[in-house]
This record gives sequence, C-alpha cells and structure tokens, in this order.
Amino acid sequence: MNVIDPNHPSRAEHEFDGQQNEIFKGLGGSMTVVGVFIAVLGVLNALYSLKAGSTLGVILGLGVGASMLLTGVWLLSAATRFRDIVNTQGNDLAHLMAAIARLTNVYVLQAWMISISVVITLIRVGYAIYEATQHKAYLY
Amino acid sequence: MADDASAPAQHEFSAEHNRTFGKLATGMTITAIAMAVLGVIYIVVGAISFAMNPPVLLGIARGVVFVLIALFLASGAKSIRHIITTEGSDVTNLMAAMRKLRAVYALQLWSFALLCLLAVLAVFLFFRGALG
Repeated sequence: MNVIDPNHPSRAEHEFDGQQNEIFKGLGGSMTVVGVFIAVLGVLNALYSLKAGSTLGVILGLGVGASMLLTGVWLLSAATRFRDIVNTQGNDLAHLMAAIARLTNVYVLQAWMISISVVITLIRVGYAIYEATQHKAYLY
Repeated sequence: MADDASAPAQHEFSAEHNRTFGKLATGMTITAIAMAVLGVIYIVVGAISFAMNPPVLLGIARGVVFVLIALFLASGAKSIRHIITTEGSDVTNLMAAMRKLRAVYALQLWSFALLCLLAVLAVFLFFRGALG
C-alpha cells in the first residue's frame, strides 16, 4: 500500500490536473516547432559556413551551427518530456524534472552564446564608431 | 483574511528538485540579461542609423523581440526562484513559470513564422525582378 508521509510531501507522487496539463501541452507544442526550426537553422548555418573564405569563419560557423543543433535537440527532448506529463500517469514529477534538466542545458548554452554575441556586437559597434570618427576627422 | 485551511496542500519539491530549479533560474536570468542588452543594442543601432530600409527595420524588430523574450524569461526565472524560496505554493509558482515559458516559445514561434513569410516574399520579389 502507498503511504504518504505528510512530513515528507516531496516523496508523494504528484499528478498535474487537466488545466495544468493544458499549459504543459501548449508549452511542449511550441517548443517542438521552435526546436525543429533551430536545429534546421543550425545545420544550414554549419553547411553555409563551409563556403566561408577563412578558416576562422569556418570554425565559427561550425561552432554556432553545432550549438544551435544541440539547442534544438535539447528543446525537442524537453518538449517530449512535457508531453509525457500530459499523456502518462503516475510519473509526472520524473518527467517534469527531466524536462527541467534539459531546459537548464538549453539556457546555460544560450547564456554563453548570447553573452559572447553581446561582446562581439559591442566590439563591432565600438569599431564602427571609431571608424566613423576617424573618417570625420579626415574630412575636416 | 479568508481562512484557506480547506484548500488542499500543494506538493512541495524536495531539496534536490530545488537545486535543479535553481540551475534553471540562473541560466534563464543570465540569458535574459544578455538578450536584453543585445536587444537594446539592436534597437539603438537601428534608431541612430536614421535609415528606413528593410535590414534596419528588421534589426529594430529583432531587438524588440529580444527585449520581450528577455522580460518573459526574467519573470519566469523569478517564479522559479519562488519555488525555492517559499513554501506552500510550489505548484502555483511552477505553473506561473511554465505559462511565461510558453509565452517565450509562442513569441519565438510567431517570429520564426514571420521570418519564413518574409523569406518567401523576398524570394518571390527576387524572381519577379529577375524574370520581369
């Protein structure tokens, strides 16, 4: 017999209700489409980078493509787990925590990639401003 | 104050679960900050270029989408942190975070759909120009 200990409520298996399942269903659906799109873009980005003129361009393009593909795969995996919450019974918490773990991977990778993008963008903007001021000084 | 004793007790996540939620909240917060900074840069660069051509407008639109996603992510991360720092309303906080995440992915989905539409339009205009 399953005895639920009130002092350790986390040990009891929680089952999400219909309204909560609708939210997981919606989240899983959007996540699947976004995951497929990002994965496809990642592959295209990697293939396109092979045409780059420099070795650095190829390496950067392949790196960005691989990280996008990885993000897409993790998103698809998380979406599957969110759908499992809706479609199965008796294991909602395990599915939820598995989805959360995959989402954590996505956001840790995105945090790194977008932070690097911020640094590169700031350098490019700074360089453009420097170029513009130099050009202005030359004109005067 | 209303007596809430009749309401069923919500599931309380364990310390191990809270650690997993903590990692997610940290990742989401850093991503939100970086996205907001990038979004603001795109908007400012677009605005000070004083041009109204499609690439500049797309840059500004991308910046606005980034800022919106960043706001939803930061709000979702806050709800996830509440799971860890509060007791008695873990499921409510979890579902609030899931709703915000759903908004993030719905926004991304519509942005991608719009991008696809613009790409198809660009291809159509290119071929019409080439043939005509």
